[in-house]
Amino acid sequence: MTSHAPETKDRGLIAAAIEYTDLRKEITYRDVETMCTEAVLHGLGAVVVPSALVRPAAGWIADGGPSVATVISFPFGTQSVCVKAREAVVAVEQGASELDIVPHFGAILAGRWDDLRRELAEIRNATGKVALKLVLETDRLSSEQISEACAIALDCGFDYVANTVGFRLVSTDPNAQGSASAQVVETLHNLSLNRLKVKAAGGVTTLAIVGALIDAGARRVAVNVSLGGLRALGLTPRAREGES
Amino acid sequence: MTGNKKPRSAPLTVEMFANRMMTATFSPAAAEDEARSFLRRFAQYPTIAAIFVDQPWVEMAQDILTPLGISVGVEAAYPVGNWSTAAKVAAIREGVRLGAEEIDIGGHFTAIKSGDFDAVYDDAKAMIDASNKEIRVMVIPETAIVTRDELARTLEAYAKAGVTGIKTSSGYGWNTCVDDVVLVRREFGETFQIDVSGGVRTVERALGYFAAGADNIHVSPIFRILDEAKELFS
Repeated sequence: MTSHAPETKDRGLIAAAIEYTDLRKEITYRDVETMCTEAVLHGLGAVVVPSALVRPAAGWIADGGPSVATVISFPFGTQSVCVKAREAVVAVEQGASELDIVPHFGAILAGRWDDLRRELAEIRNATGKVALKLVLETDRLSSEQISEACAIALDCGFDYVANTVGFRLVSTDPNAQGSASAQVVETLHNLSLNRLKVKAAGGVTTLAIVGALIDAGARRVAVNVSLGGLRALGLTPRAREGES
Repeated sequence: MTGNKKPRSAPLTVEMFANRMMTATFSPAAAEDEARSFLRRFAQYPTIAAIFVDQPWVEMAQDILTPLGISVGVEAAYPVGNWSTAAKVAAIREGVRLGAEEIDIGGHFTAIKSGDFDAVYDDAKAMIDASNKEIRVMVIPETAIVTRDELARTLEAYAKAGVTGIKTSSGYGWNTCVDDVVLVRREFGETFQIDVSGGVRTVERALGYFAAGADNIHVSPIFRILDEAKELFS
């Protein structure tokens, strides 16, 4: 394992790395309440909800609790810069402290690096000090493209890079979406020269997977409600530990 | 902008059929050069109604499609939805600035599924106000995930908000059925233009939707369907 591997036997550490994510279109206000309550009970790192639900999520989590995060221009990243910046600014105003930014993949694939730099810089300038994560789609990008995008993200003051949007971006096949692996995490560390923190996303369904991804160097791991959420992981609420 | 009002009678020629078909090309499924090649192929086909692209690709698409008589559209809160209203408003204004003729935009699915139809109305009203009638706004209620009652209450809120067009579904596995179109036409008459998306993969199925009252149909395999239509109407 890499030198940046933390001690994954600590459940508190694992919980703090988890981003509890629900970006389903049918998510209800009740779902938001439930996931926020669970996130607080488990001491999770963050909840990730669509931008329309940042305000209610922030209302369920007290200061010092899990961060409220959202994804900007989810899932395709096909909006103009001004639209992304507006969505980001409003999300921060409504209580988000972490933003996952989906870049214009068309610019990355075409090597339009100035366009990517303008996009990321404008979002950083518009959002102040919140944590920013550049969401890539590593299965669709070359090592050179990932490396260049990470370098630009670093220049623009981004904090994290993530391996996938977690939606079927390149096919309507439900199975055609990116997934996390220790190899992907290590690749992102290497291509960002260990200067961006890595968020691993996609297909995380067991606590063992979470632990392996953290061991590989992931600082954050997306656990998706649509894949069974915390119940699939078998996590015990922190508040009940020691009761039995 | 175009109101995109066209006769709703059954198409009798391949040109009439094509004129009510729409498709899309987005990154990262397509790279920019692939999207450009895709758009250029339409010079060899009867004129379709509209093609939807990334916002940063609108100018490129207009260069290719405007001479062909094909409208350029954009999307927002699509296909998963639940963007903040502020983000949707920004996307609509940007669509206007870019000169896009249509924007297809997801409704507030969370509010619909939570029974909060005041929020459904507020979200839709903000979108319609932002459009200022300068762009065709097609709001997506996502028929695949709502009950009949939720759909009816959503459409009541949309009508009250001034929505004049709906796109039944966003596709990507969320499919429409003919009954959805029949229901909307029966309950809401001519209140909405109805564009269909999700699971239309043959000419016969497209014609079925037109017969049910659809105005336009979005399809992924556009060239195959246009080829089939050429044969059918020849």
